[in-house]
Amino acid sequence: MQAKEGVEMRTVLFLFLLLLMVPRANAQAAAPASADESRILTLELAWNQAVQEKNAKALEMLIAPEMVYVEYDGTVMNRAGYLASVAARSVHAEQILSEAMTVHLYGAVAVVTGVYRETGAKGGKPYLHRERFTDTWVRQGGSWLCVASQSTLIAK
Amino acid sequence: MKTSAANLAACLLMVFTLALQPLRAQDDLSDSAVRSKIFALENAWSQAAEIKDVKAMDTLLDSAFIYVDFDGRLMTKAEVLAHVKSASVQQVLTEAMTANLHGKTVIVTGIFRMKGMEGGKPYLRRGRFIDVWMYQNGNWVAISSQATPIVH
Repeated sequence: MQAKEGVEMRTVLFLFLLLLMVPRANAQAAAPASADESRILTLELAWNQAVQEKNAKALEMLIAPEMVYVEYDGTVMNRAGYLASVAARSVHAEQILSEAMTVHLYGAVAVVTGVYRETGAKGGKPYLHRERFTDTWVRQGGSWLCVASQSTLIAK
Repeated sequence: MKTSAANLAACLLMVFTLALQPLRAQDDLSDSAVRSKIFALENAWSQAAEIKDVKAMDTLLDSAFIYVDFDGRLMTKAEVLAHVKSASVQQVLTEAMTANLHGKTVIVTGIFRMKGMEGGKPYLRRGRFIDVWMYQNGNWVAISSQATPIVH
C-alpha cells in the first residue's frame, strides 16, 4: 500500500516539476510558446518518461478513455490495449526522446507532430527506432488529454 | 394580384426555410449525422486522390493541414496537393472506418488500400490511418492525417 502511494506521489511530483520546468525552457526560444503549447509539450515529455518507467498510473492521467493508438507496425489499440502493451514491453528502453515537436493549436484541440527516438536492447541486441508521430490532444474540463496517437517508422 | 400571391408564397417559403435552418444545423451535428457526413468526406477524399481532383481536395483540407506519409515523411497541405497532382494513383479504398467524436472534432481510424504506379512499377499499399476532422465555419475540414504500413 505504501509502495503504491509512493508511486502515485512520485507521478504527481514528476508531472508538477515538468510543468514548472518547460515554460522556462521555452522562454529561451525565439518565438515564445503559449501556455497551452508549453503544457502540451510538457505532457509529451511526461508520456515518454511514463513509458520508460512503465508507469501506468501516469499514463492514465495523460490519455483519454476513448483514445486510439496506432503502433509503428500498423497495430491499432484502444486505451486498455495500449496500457497493457506498455506494461508488457519486453524491451529495455535506455533512452526515449522526442525531437522537432510542433504544436498546432485549434482552440481546445492540439495536434502535435514530432520525431520519437528510442534506443535500447531487445533480446540482448541493441535497437534504434525512429518514428514520426502525430498526437491529438483535447482539452476536457481544464485538462489536456490525448485522444489519438500514431507512429510511422521513418524510412532510412 | 396573382403576382402578389406568388410573392407572398415565396416570402413565406423563404421565412420558413430560414426558420428551419438552425434546426437543420443542429440536426447535422447529431452524432450519427456527423459520422455519416465524415465517412462521406473520407470517400470524397479517396475519390479526389484517384482522379487527381486537387480542387476538391483543397476544400477538404484545412490550410494548416499536416500529413505524415507511410514512409514517415511530414508534408504540408501544399506539398500534399502537389503530390496528388504528380502521383499515379489508380485506386484508393478505405475500410473498417470508425469515428470517435469529441465535440466538434472527429477522430477517424481506418485501413486504406492504395494501388498505383511508381517509377514504372505497380504497387499495392495497405496501411492504417488516423484522420482528424474539425468543424469550422459550417464545414468539416481535415486538420491532420497519418498513414502507417500494416506489416502483419
